[in-house]
Amino acid sequence: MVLLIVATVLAALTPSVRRQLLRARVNRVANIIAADLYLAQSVASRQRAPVRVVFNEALKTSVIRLRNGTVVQTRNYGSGGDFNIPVFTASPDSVEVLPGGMANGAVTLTAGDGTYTREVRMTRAGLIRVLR
Amino acid sequence: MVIFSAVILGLVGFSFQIARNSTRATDQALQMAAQLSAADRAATVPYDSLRRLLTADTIRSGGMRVFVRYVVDSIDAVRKNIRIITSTSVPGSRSDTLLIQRGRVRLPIPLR
Repeated sequence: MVLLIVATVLAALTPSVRRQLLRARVNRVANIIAADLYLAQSVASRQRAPVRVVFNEALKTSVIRLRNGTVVQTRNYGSGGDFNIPVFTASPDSVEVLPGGMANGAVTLTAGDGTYTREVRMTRAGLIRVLR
Repeated sequence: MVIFSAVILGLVGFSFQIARNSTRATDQALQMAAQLSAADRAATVPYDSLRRLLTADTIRSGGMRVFVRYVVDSIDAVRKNIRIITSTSVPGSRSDTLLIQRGRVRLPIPLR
C-alpha cells in the first residue's frame, strides 16, 4: 500500500520536475550564450582586434575566432556538449565583435526545448540581454 | 518486490537527475569565472615571463575544485599563443579551452 502511494506520488511529480529541469537547462544555456558574447567582447578588447562569433544551428555550436582563423573558443550546446538542447537558432549566423565592444550588426539567438525558449540578443552597440 | 524495485529505481533516477543538474550549473559558473580570471592573468603577465609565471592553479569552492592550466606555444619570435584549459573535479564534466594571443609589442588600439 505504502509503495503504491509512493509510486503514485512519484508518477505525478515526474512530468513537472522534468519540465523544471529542462527549463533550468534552457535558462542556463541562455546565460552561457550571453556570457560567451561578453567573452567575445573581452577577447576583442584584449587582442585589440575584431573577433568573429560563428553560430552553427545544425551542430549547435558557437565558435569565437580571430580574423586570421585562429579559434579562440568553441562551445557545444548540442549532444556533443553538456547541454543537449533541442532548439538552437541564430539570426544572422555570425557576428563580428569589434575591440570597442560594438558589433557589425545585431544578433538574436534562441535556445529552447520546443515548448520553452529563451532569446539572447546583442545589439550593434554591444548591449547583451537575455530576454525573459 | 517488483513494484518496490521500480519505485526505488525511480527515486534514484529522479534524485540523480536533480543532483546532476544542480552540480553542473554550479561547476559551469565556477569554470567560466576561473577562465575569465585566467584570461586576465594571461593577458597581464609580462611577455618574457609567460612560461615561468603562468603555472597551473587549483581553485576550491566547497567540495568542488576547478583546475586551470596554461599551455604556451611560440608562434614566432614575437608572438605566443596561450591556451587556457579549465576543468572541474565534477565527474563527467568537460574541459574548456580559451586561446589568448600575446605579442612582444602590443597592437595599438584601433580607431583611436
